[in-house]
Amino acid sequence: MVGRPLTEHELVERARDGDGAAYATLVRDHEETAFRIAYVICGSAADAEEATQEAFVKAYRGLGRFRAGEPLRPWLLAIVANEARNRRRAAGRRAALALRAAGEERPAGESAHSPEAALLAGERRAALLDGLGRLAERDRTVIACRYLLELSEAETAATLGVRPGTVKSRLSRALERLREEVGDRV
Amino acid sequence: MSELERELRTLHVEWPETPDLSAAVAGRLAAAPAPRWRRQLAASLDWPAWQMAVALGAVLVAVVMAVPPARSAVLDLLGFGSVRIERAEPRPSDFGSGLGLGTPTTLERARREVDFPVLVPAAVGRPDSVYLGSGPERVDLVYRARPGLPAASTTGVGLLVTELPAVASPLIEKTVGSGSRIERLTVDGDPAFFITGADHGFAYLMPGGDAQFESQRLAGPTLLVERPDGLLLRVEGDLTREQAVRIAESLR
Repeated sequence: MVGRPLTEHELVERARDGDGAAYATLVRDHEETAFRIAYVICGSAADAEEATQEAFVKAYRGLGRFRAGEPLRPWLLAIVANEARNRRRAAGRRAALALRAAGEERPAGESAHSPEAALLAGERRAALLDGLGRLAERDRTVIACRYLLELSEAETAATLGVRPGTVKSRLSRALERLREEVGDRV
Repeated sequence: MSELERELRTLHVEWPETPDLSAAVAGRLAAAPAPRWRRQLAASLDWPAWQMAVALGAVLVAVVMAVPPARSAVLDLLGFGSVRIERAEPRPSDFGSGLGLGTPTTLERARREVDFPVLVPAAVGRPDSVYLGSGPERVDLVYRARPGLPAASTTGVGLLVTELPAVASPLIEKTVGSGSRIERLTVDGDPAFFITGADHGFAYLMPGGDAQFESQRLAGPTLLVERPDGLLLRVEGDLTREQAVRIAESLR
């Protein structure tokens, strides 16, 4: 017998039969994306952690409702986003989301840029993330899903709780608002 | 793609560190597993109360696991500070009633009453008496001493098989008495513990996450098996490890 990693489908089947280790593997596969989505929605890492943990426990209990053969991630992300929104509502906080650009690592080929250019680029990145953080939750979530987390349209739709056909229009409206926020010409 | 979209795509965000959710989730599920047959139960429970129970359970486990004095304090608080063997006068009509196991019943009625499948070890056949316990829901099968099942109590009981929805592994090392020894093994691939020594009571977690303590009922060692369907199985009697495993493996 050749040992091979179990497929997602097999892991789901095992988890349904009460195999906690199989479910832990599924959680590990999806926890990063799930936590980041919850963070974008809640605006607080502590709330995001609670929401994601709760969502994964609920998802385990709801595995019976998951349709076998379908991809797990959109289904999980819908539960996570829902839990995160509930928590945000319960907390009653409407603080802006604080996102920071990662370090000064520049992609290859940009090293020839002058310090001024680098500074400008850094300011621009910060301005974009600030602007994103000030957007309404649904606007920043759709942008974060598509561009920062690079989710598919179907996954984004599940996260937002809308039909896949609605993602494009939501996204273009959100981008317009971000342009206004950062003072770009519309 | 617009310039703005291109910029967004190349943004590297410094995300807050992702917590170790798989460990946290696994811990919560271990405290309250929800296998197939318990799903309806979970759905029917009031959700916030359930969350509270899990949270409380998790706190208890953390405290119990961390500090031995705190563990005794918590167990004291819950009303099971020490391991005691309680034996009342035997009542001949209800064989094994001296073990303090609950209400005598029949196998058939027990199967109708409880939410989990009541299994019988084929190796020893039908029990001589059956007890239905509550808080938590449990079924005990009692066997008279006979050739192959030496008497393990003054009341002539040779074997006790307990079935209840619970997990023992999170608490096992900490709550088994100091005069006893735990051996880890697997029975049909399921995690199992063979406890021998002075006392072999053990603590366990109920589906809601609350801790409970189960005293030893008979002389002789105890085999605990954690089945994947969420059932904790205890085989207790004056048996060798191999005999106890054979009985556990024969559950149908």
